[in-house]
Amino acid sequence: MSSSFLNVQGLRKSFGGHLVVLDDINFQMEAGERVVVIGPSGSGKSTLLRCVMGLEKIDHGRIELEGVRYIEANPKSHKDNFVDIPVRNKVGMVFQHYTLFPHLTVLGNLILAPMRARGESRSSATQRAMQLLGRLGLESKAGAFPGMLSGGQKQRVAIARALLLDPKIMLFDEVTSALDPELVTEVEGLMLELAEQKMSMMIVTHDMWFAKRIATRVIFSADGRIIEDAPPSTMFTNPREPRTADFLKKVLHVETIS
Amino acid sequence: MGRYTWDFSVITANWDPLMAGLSVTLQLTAICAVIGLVGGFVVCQMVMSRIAPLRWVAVAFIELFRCTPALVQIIWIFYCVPFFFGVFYDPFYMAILALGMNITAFNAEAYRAAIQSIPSSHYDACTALGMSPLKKTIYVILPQAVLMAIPVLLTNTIGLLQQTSLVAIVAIADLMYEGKTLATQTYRPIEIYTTVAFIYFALSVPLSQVVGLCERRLRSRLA
Ligand SMILES: Nc1ncnc2c1ncn2[C@@H]1O[C@H](COP(=O)(O)OP(=O)(O)OP(=O)(O)O)[C@@H](O)[C@H]1O
Ligand SMILES: [Mg+2]
Repeated sequence: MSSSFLNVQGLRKSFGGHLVVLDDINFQMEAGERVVVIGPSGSGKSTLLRCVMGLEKIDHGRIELEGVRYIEANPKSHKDNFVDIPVRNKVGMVFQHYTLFPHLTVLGNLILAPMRARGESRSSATQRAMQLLGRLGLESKAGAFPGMLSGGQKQRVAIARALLLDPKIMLFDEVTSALDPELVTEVEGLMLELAEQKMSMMIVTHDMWFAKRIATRVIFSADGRIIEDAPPSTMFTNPREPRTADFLKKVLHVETIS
Repeated sequence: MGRYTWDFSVITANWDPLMAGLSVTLQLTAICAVIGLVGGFVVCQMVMSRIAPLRWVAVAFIELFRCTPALVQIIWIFYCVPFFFGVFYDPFYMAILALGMNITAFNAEAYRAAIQSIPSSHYDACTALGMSPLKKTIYVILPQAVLMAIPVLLTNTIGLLQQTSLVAIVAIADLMYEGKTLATQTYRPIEIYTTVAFIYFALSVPLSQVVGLCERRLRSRLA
């Protein structure tokens, strides 16, 4: 048992047995931390988040939330992972691709899981959903179908949908990558608001300026390993590892940002 | 081409048998359409099942009915089922069996294509929202699949309406059969077959319009 809020231990993940994407990842974070994961394409950032969400079958290791193990690899590798679903349900995730269900209205998307997965009454779920939509300035879209929303609105609704389940931690996998540049700020703004409310988050992004703004900690991953783990002030101005510096130089076209 | 004098009085004079035939055609279509909607979904679930023998049976069923002519299916079932199984039902029921299985096979493919077009990220989103596999199927996959399959299901149903005319060959008194009978009795095949064709056409065109409407609405909805 560990006292960490989120504790990933000895996590190994491969695809098809040979392509090892995550190799013995050990990682802890405390409640209220906002960890941004950066790294080259294909370095396993999405896979790491998907493992924490319980979407991938892991080969080895365990993941704990608030000291409770909720995912653990089965020693018999062909068997399914151990998953404690009630604990896993405290983790929320938003994806790069729009995942609002197109046959349901915005409100229908929001209240689906509270009603069908949590057994909340329609009236109570609707009330909470409308309140949240109000806070996001999206009340008028409650009856709209996702196809009628802008990309930025879709992602904000997707975030709201996850928030209605009262997650302890939110995972964001490149949630602004599919957006037109002018729509990025509204989504990032919402994430910054959540940051102010001390929501624990893991964020994958290619936007280093946003990373610097929102992160309390930055992790640089490459080749399935965590190469460097530092506060944003250090990571972006004075990285310890040459590989980190190389990567930042490439994506920023400058030495460091300040 | 010689000058032909059209005489549609033969139609008005024989209105009743034609309408009786039409009623049989509509009944066949309606019953088989319902069989196809439900049966197609069941067969589709079998095709996508984890249990291999279920899959084999379903795939064999689909290929059998997709890869033989409907006319042959009707005749085969009409003559061979009584012979092999020693049962003989009313021809109307035999026709329902044949046409119902045919549309079931085609609808199963429509449902399968619709389910496969649902992006895998929706499955992930359901898990992330804490939806169990059953809830996910009922509330997210099934409704999307049915919506997306509607245009093809309707198109298949229009095809079914046309195909019911094949049962005339086994002496079921549908619209086509009544038309054929009248044509030989009255020596007015031109008027009669033209009328019969027009009736099929008039029934199908509205359905076909509905398909177009559905496609447009779905495209804007599911974009
Ligand atoms: N379902 C899968 N099957 C096989 N290989 C996969 C699968 N998902 C990911 N991979 C592979 O795992 C590696 C890591 O993928 P991942 O998506 O985690 O990278 P990433 O760091 O998120 O990259 P990007 O920045 O491009 O999103 C890649 O080589 C990818 O091709
Ligand atoms: Mg990724």
